[in-house]
Amino acid sequence: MIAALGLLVGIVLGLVLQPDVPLWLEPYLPIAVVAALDAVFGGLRAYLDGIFDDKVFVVSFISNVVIAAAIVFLGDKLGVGGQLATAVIVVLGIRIFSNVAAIRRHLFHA
Amino acid sequence: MSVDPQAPLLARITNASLDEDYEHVAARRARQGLPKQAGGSHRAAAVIVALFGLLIVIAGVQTSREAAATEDGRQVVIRQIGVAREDLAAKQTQVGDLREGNTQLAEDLKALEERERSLTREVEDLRLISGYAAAQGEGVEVTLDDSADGSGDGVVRDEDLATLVSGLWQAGAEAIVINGQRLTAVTGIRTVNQAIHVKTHPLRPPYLIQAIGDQDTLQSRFAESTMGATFLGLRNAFDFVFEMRNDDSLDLPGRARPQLRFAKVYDPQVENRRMVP
Repeated sequence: MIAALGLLVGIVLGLVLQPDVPLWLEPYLPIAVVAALDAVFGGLRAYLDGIFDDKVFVVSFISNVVIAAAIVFLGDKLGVGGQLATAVIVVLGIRIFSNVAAIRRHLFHA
Repeated sequence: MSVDPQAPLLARITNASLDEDYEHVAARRARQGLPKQAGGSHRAAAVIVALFGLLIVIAGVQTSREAAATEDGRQVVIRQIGVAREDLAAKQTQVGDLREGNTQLAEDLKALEERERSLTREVEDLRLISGYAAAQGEGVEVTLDDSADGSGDGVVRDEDLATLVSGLWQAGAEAIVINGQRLTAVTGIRTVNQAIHVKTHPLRPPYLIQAIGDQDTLQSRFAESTMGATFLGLRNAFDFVFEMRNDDSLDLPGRARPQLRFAKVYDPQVENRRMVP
């Protein structure tokens, strides 16, 4: 319940403030969002599995975001930023799908 | 949910989709006799989720802004394409015009070349007539010398020679040479210090006069002309050595063309235009 409230607060805050992203951060924002999405769905699944833990969620969220951005940053420096970003998105996408599938099983018992 | 390191990549990713840490923590709590899931308000999780919402909104706003900028850029490029296309069309029209102009100019050039050729021919003719071009043709050759007796009256003088030349002109001669000196409109014949000068060249007797003209009529018309008759009278009176014979092929030299500095061609049209204020 409080998590949904947090999401609402975050969205409203973003819409109201509409902060400008610095230019150097711009390429990492989409990949960070995907990584965060993975962490959130993972947390939701763990909650439904009954094994949710605040600390694990916080750590997994932050590390996901930081590592995804770092990989893209490294790729940019090596000249393979696009390919590495694709690799990260593929892996995260598959994880998101399987996590969402698990959540669906919990919610609909199907 | 342990992961088999030998499993295919896709299967490993799918199996490890949930962070193993959740299970580790759950297992530890179970060992410690605590419930699998910690209770509490999940405040930290709420903060993180709020952060997540903020992140999503920022990314969305940023992307839409960029899309607008991209669209603007696209419109600019499209406009530029339109302008360039118009430019191209204008240039192509210009190419067409220039090509037409080229054709016109080529025609003009052709006409001018034609005119140049005809003018060159005309100039050649005029040079021939006026004595500034070498001439060739049939004609007569006249030998004239002082009388054989050596008397003072028997010396050929400038006026005798001039009379002879005038007679030849009257008889229809087209080009005349005296001792290699071609006669032109500005060639005078006069005596200076007892020698006859044609223009500024002093001549010595005997005088060889070559005249191009109609062989059939030149001699007879010379005799009939007033100047010719006058000359023949002079010859009889002073007993000059005089002989006139036909020559089938005469080569007469031309004179170098003089440089005119003051005389200009009179063009009535230009003069009329100049009259108009």
